[in-house]
Amino acid sequence: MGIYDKNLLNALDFLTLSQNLDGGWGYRRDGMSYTEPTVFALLALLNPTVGIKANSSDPRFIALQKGLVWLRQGQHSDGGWGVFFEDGVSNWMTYPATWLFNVILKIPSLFAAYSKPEDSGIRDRAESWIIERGREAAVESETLAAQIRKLFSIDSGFRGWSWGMGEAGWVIPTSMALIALVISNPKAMNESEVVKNGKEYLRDRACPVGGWNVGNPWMLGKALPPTPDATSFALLAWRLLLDASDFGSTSQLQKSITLLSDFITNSNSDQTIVLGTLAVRLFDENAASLNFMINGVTRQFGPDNISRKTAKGQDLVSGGWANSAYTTAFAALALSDTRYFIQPA
Amino acid sequence: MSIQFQPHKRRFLSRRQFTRLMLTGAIGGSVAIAELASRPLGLVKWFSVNFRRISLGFGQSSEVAIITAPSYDSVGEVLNQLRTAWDSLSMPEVLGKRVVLKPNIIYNIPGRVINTHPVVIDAAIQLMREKGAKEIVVAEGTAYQRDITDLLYQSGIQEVLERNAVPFVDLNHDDIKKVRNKGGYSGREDLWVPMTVANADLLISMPKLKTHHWAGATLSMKNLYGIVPGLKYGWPKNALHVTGIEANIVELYETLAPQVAIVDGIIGMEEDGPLFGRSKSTQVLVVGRDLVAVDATCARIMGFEPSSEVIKHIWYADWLGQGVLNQSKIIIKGVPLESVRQNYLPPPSLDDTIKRY
Repeated sequence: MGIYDKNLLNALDFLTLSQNLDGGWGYRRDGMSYTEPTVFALLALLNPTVGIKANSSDPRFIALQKGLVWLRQGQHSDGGWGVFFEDGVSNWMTYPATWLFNVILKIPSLFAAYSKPEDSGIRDRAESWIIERGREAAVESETLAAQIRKLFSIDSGFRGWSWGMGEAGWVIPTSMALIALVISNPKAMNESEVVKNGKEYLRDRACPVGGWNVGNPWMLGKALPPTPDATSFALLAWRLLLDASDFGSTSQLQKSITLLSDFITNSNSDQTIVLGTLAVRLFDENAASLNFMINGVTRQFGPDNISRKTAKGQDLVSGGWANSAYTTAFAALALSDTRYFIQPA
Repeated sequence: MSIQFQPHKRRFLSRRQFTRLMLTGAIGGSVAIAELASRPLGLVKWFSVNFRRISLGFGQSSEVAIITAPSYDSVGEVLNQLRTAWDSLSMPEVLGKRVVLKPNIIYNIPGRVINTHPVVIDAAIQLMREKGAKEIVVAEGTAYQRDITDLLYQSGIQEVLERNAVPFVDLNHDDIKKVRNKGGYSGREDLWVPMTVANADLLISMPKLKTHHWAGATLSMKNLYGIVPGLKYGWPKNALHVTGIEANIVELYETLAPQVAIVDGIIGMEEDGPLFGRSKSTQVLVVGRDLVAVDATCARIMGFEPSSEVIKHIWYADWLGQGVLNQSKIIIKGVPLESVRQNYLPPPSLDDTIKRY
């Protein structure tokens, strides 16, 4: 047993108990079900090390089954998902949903316990949607491309993924889309032109000081600072896209990890701390810094360390973070000793 | 004698028929041209807009209060000034109402006055409490990041919320409902609205007095962009730029129907707003119920005259009959506009096609 297993199990209990009656999860407890928090709650509950007995009366197993039914039923005929059932227009929430199905289809124990015969079709249609509908259009006009380069210092030849169809690409949806496309077979997918171009998009949109923001590293000649949310999602994607060129003390990767670690240290936000820790943990194996960050997530360290912060960490009664299934799901992923959610095997 | 029949002259159309046909064609053609010319409003809407404009032309005026406030040093002083402004106008009933205060909270960049100042939010909370609000909520859906928590701490707003025991709602991740767009200006039939706003009795827009590189100025109407939920429209909400910034601003104003604006103009931002502009001490609070009139007045305080070329959405809102732009029809309470007028440096002028980036 790891030292954080109890925290992890309590987190999974919180997720199980905060599931809505319709089978989905909201961003906050008792909030309406949305696709994105449902995906991440399911991804956390799927942790193969926890030992859920399939076909049992285990509440976590039942929650997973109900959640997956909700998700399968939410897929539109075009292959995408909206933000929730009543939203008939497919959008960015297709990316995390596809990510989830790829994890289930890739890990034999999860496949055996949770997959349905239709899941590979669901995944295939979703991947087609991501490539054909979610990706931003190419900028055909040379004049416009030059203007974009001049004003924002970005290269519109690199095409990211958008929040909604027909819009420009942005860092968080691009990161999620790349994970969804690459996770099932990184070696092959990293050679595809779409993914190579997507990685270059992330490189191009990186902030000069490290990290990422929404996707505007420069705004009319001025540097727009990075933010922890975009930096975390971009690093999650980067973990799957790494090649030799990414390493080195002055690399964008190293600058971004250092920056995100600073965000975690100084943040008052549970969401920033758990999401940041999840991302940094994928790169930084240094035990001391990891312990510090994970203690930050669980709030187990001494009073001196927490006196200047207001983030509460895990609620010892409910097991959740910020009374939010969304935040708690990322905390549970951050506490996981295996990387099944990003490097399934 | 035989009877000679005159052969009947077969004409395709009689003169009368021809005249009728031409008349019908002319009317039909005119309707078709009018329909095309009135898009995206549509003919019925176009007539109703013009009817509303003509009605407004006969004497409707709006009241706007301009009150000086030298600094953010004292909440009590700002509250006194805000109360003076509020009481000088015919304002909506607050007693027993659920009030949502919508400040402008975007980014924390050291040295830049980007967000609505916490002291002004504090004063507004206290004023609403004095007026008997049943419930007060501060709400924002910030544009550049998904998690607003640290921004609330860094800006000093969290301390105000805690001291006043007022909840904050992240509009980007709130429950949402679909409402019909009332205007039809943006090309979207529906708008997804956070429940917190949909259920509010009184919505108060509280922007910073700032220039804006896309919209010219970000005032009480543009501040409504922060209401649309990011989970549906993304960050930085540029989905609304694709179909036209001006059209979406007036659409939001007509659909969300905020009743009051309180503009933080104690220190404004000129030139490259809304993030990188320079501070401009202006020492005013601007308050009113007609957000078009409030924004037009703020623009004039900044030294800009709204038109079809400058801060277009204010001109557009006036054209649609949503409020009053004409200076002669805006009754100023408090200090005269001329006494506080400044010369803000304008934002850069940009091409419409790149506003999606």
